[in-house]
Amino acid sequence: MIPLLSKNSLVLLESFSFTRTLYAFDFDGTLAKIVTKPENAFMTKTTESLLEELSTLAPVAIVSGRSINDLKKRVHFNPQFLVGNHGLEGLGNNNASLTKAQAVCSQWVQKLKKMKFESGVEIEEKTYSLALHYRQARNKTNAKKQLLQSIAELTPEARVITGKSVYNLLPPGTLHKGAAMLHLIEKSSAKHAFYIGDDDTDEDIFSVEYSAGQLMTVRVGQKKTSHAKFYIDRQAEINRLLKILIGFHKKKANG
Amino acid sequence: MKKNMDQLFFSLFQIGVSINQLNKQSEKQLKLSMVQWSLLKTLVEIPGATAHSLAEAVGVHPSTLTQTLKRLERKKYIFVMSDPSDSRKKLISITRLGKETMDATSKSLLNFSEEFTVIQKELKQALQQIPAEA
Ligand SMILES: [Mg+2]
Repeated sequence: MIPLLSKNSLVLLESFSFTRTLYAFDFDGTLAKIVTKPENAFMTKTTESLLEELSTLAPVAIVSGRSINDLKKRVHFNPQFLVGNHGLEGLGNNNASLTKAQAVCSQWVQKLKKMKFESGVEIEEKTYSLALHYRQARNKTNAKKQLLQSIAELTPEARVITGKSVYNLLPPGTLHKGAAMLHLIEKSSAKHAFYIGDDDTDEDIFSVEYSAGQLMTVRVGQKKTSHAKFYIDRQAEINRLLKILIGFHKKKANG
Repeated sequence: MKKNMDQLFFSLFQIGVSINQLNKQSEKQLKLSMVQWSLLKTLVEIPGATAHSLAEAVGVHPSTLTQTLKRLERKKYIFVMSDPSDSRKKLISITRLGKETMDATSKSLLNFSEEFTVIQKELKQALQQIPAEA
C-alpha cells in the first residue's frame, strides 16, 4: 500500500482522467465521517458540493451498505449511480431476487428479535439485508459473541460481511460489493474505475479481478492486510482528494 | 511468379524505408516518432499499464519497447512507478505533458501529406504484386 496523495501516485491518478473513468465512493467512513449513531452520518456541505461538481465532469457512483431510501436522505443531488444494500439495490436487479431477499430478511428479523442481546445492540432492517450494530454496546466483546452465535442459528445461512462495529447479513446468493462494482463499470460504459472505501466490506472490491481495464483501489486508513493498492490517511482528506480529481478533469476540459 | 515475388519484396522494403523516414521526420518536427505516439495513445487507454500489457496491446515483444520507453521517460512524457502490491512490477502512466504532446502531434500529422502520398503509392504497387492465392 502506498499513499495516494503523493507525487508518484497522483501522476497515475491523473492519467485516469484522460479517458472515461468511473469514480465510485463508499459512504460511511469515506464520504461521511463515522459517528456513534449511523443515522447521524452525513457528508459535510463541502464534500457534497465537491462530489456534485465531480459528477458534472465524470460518472460518479456511491456504493453503500445502506438502503437506497436511506442514502437518498443523505445525498441531495443526483449522482449517476446510487447503489445500496451492498449492490442489491440500484443496479436494476430483477424483482424476483429482491422479493426473495426481502422474505429471507423478515424471517431473520423475527428470529433475532426473540433473542437477548447486550443493551446498545441495534438491528437495522434494510429491507433486503440486515445490519447488526454493536458500536453503542457497553460490552462490545460480549455483544460480538452474542451476535455471532445468533447469526449462526439463522436459516437460511446468512452471508456475513464484517464492518466497523457492525455485522451485515445478506441473503445467500446475493451480489457482494465486488460483483456490484463490475456491473457498475459495465453500466456506466467506463473503461476504468476508481474506488475508495474504508472497511472490510470494501475488500470485496479491492480484491476484485477486473481484467477488462484498470481499477484503482484506495482505502481510507492504511492497513497491511488490505488488498487496496493505495490509501489516504483519514476520512478528513476526502475533500482534498475530490478537489484534485476536479482539477484534473477541468484541466482536460480547458486543454 | 518468381519475378513477381522479387518485385513484391523490393516494394515492401521501399515502404519500410519510407515509413522509417516519416518516423524520423515526425520525431524531429513534432517531438514524437510514430512509435512513441502509438505507445502514448495506447497508454491513454490503459492507465498504469505494465510493460507487458503495453507490449501486448501494440503487438510487439516487451524487449523491443525498452529503448522507446526510456526515451519517453527522459522526455517526461511517461512516468514509471513500482506496483504498490508487487514492487517487481512497474506501472507506466502517461503524464499530462505526454498527453498534450500526443494531442498536438495528432493534429500536426496532416503536415506530412506529401510523405503519406508517397507511401500510399508504394502500398498500391505492392498490393498489386501480391499473388491472388496468397
Ligand atoms: Mg464504509
